[in-house]
Amino acid sequence: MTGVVLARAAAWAGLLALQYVLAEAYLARGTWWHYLLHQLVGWGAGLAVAGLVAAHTRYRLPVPVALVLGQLASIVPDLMFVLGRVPHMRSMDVWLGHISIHTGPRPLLVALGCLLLGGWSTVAAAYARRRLATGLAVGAAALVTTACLLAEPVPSTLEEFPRDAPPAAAGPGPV
Amino acid sequence: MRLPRGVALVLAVQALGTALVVGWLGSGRPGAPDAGLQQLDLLMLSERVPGVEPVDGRPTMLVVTSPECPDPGPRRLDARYGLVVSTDPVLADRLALPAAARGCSPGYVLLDGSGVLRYRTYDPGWPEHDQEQEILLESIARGHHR
Repeated sequence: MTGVVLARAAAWAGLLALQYVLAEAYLARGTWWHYLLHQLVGWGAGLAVAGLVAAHTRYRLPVPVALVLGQLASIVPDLMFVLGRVPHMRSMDVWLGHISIHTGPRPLLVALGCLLLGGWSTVAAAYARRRLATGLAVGAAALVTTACLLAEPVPSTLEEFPRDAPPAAAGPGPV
Repeated sequence: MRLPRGVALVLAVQALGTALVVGWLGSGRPGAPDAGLQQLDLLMLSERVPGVEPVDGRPTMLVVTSPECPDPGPRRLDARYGLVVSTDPVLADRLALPAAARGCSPGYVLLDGSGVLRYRTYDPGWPEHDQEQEILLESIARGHHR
């Protein structure tokens, strides 16, 4: 019994340490905004999948596992950048809209919407509301997909960059 | 009332996510810095800008800043790459970094060894982000394409 408790405590400590290291890495690069965007989408996607699995199969994806898997899926391009020294490419949209989400409408609100819908999907599935869980999970996916489809293309010439964007307040730092 | 397994964690994560977003937006920071393009780390450009040349034929970082910004001190960029710092507002406009030479909103562009512009971004913390810049310059040196 003590062993199980210790193992669980160690797993939670590891999970929290991973979250701290990730947040700190984004913060050190002045990319906290990107951290918010990708973690929320990743967590939401993971929870949406957990909701779908619970609603349509007899299996249950543990919430911490769903969160970490979604999170990792959303930051694969960033891991490739730091660990593999590979710049971002437009094709990296396959990782939960990793590129287009930046230039889509209201990126942070879309990411938060994904987290809320995906989370509610898991909650609905936990209460055996299968249809609702499915609808919410599909809603999370549809929200991110729509935002990516509506995204402004990444400029390919200097002429295409916005000239009046106020970047001054976008400096690095915690929320 | 006892919640089903995992539900409390979901609600906690949702609350955390909401607090982070509200904190960011409530602090006056933009919802999408530089229209979402700040530090995108995507080599999106392939064009020449008259008068903008690399240092000694090496991949080069050209920083545009203003005298109002604090002195960043000595830079750590690898010697394989050139580094130029400018405070010229006309150049800032030509590089689509109009705010860089006014106030303190620095940005930079990256050139390949032949002078082709490959990347442009605002980055207020540019003196601290040498790892990011070197990864991009290394990819440019390797001839990475979009």
